[in-house]
Amino acid sequence: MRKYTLKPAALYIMSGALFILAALVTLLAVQYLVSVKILMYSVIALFCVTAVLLGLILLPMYFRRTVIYISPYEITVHSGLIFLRRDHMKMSAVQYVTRVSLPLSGFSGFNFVILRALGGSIVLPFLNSVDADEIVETVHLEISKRQ
Amino acid sequence: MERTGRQHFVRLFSYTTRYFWLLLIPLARSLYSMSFDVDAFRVWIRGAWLDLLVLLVIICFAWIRWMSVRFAFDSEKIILRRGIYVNSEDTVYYSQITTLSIKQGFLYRLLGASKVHIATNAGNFDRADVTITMRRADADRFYSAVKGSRQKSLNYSISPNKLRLLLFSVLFSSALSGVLIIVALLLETGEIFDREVEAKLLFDTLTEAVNIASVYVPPIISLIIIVLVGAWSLSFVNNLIVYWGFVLTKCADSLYVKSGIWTKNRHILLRSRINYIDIKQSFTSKVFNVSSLHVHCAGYGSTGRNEMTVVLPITTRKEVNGAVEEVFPEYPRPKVELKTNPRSYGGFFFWPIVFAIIPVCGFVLIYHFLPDWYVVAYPAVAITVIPAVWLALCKTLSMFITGIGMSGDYITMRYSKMFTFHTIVAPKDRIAKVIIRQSPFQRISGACSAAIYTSSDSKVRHYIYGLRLDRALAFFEKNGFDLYYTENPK
Repeated sequence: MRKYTLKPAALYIMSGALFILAALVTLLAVQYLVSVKILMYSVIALFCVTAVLLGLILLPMYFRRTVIYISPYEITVHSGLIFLRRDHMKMSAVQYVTRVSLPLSGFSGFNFVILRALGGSIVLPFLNSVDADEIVETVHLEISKRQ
Repeated sequence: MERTGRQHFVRLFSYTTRYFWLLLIPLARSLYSMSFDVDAFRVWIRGAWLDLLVLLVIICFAWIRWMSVRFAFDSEKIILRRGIYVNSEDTVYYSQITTLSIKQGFLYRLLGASKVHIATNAGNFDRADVTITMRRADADRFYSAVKGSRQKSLNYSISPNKLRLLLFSVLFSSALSGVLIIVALLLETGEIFDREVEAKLLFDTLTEAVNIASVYVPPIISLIIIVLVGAWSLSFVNNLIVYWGFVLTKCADSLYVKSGIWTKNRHILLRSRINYIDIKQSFTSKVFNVSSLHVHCAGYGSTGRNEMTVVLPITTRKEVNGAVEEVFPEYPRPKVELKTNPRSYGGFFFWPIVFAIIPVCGFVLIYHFLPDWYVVAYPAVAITVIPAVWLALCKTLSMFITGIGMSGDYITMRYSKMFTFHTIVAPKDRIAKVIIRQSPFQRISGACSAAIYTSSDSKVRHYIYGLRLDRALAFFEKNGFDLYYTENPK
């Protein structure tokens, strides 16, 4: 059995992007909504609160809580923020694997592996490139053993 | 010997666009408004030539499309060829057909046509892989060819007692399913007719009926009674049309299902491809210990409106159990080991409370801000609160029966989904995924919910609410689904 966690770089990038977006919206609001003060403050507050909530609390919690366990027999993912969940899939149920990698995913951790079974799928998000390769290889090996 | 052919001519009409006949109305009206002499006809042609041209083009395209579809079948496969410039060819071997459905609606019977749906386990969506309209004789030959390819030993055949079917249909037809049929009909016809006109027609009919009935009872009560009785009657008639003449036959590798009174439906299901069996009950049928037996496999029950996955219509539980033992002897009797946690009982009433609160809040708002609408809002609230109360009753019963059990290679799940109670028995190898989920409230009480996904060409989820987390984890681990890992005491 092998334990995988999510790559923190993806968290830093998303949190950073959120704060940059909030700062940009604040600048635009100050520039263009100054005549409607109440609207300006509302927009700034909404974006700043969302950025802080997501970037400093929810996303770090999600990254900390998400753990992937893969053995030759099963795949289990523990995740969730408000609703905690454990997803379990037997290796024998997996039909095929989809790997999605965004540009610069080796650095950013935007690698996703989707394990597809007849009637359900499990998404393994924000993986290290090496981990994603290893997972895909493990699952392919198990599928080929069935032939 | 190979048999080849084209689809039945009636298919041509479904290849024209749905609204093409609307063009005929203004054309016919303008023609009718003129006197039928040659000059008037010339004037009509001069004015309507573009409409006629559009009509001709639509019919031509439909005809080309109809001509481009050809089929051929022999004793082991069916080949469907489509296209004129770009050709495609589908070959389906009978050994790979999970469900073959041959359906004849009332109109199709008059025209001598049959709709043939062929489903394999390769489909991406929950529908048939191939759908063609054949002449009745071709469809019969094709049915015989598929039947001939299956093992022939007859094991068991059952047909529900007609008197009992009639009695149970009277007792257990539900107003809710009647309402669902009405909504489906309205949506379907609303695509052709003007929805506002349709709503006005329905409203006028209802008002007239209420006016007549209000001589004897108050208008609000009469409205509720008319809606409930009307919906129930529709459900009753629908049950009879679908299930009259129902025959289930089990052979070594296949199930044969025949049903219908005005519509004739025949199905062949491959037994090894059945994902699970489902014994369904409503609240009243549970109280009277009657149920219906359903199966889930690709293509069965997904080929049209009002289509059901039933293999034995509503009958006594004893008869259903007998049928399960005969038709699915390898399936164990349902036995639940993991039951709901009493601390979770409150959660069962979340949705009934939400469904009851929304109309009441709406009514309070209308009462304060739109007092003129009070007369309409009052019966509307009464009608919408009834299902919420009914749902609360179902959930009360559900608290005591919900649970999971595993014996040998099979899993049993008992739960309720809205107003229906399900008892599912599925082979363990058909479990695609298991999810254990905890809401914040469940975390406090140490409870959880289990969502079990079974093999299907669409997502099929069985949601079992209100289990104890520690017991659920231990239960799944004991049966080969280790969801512990970090918390594993070992």
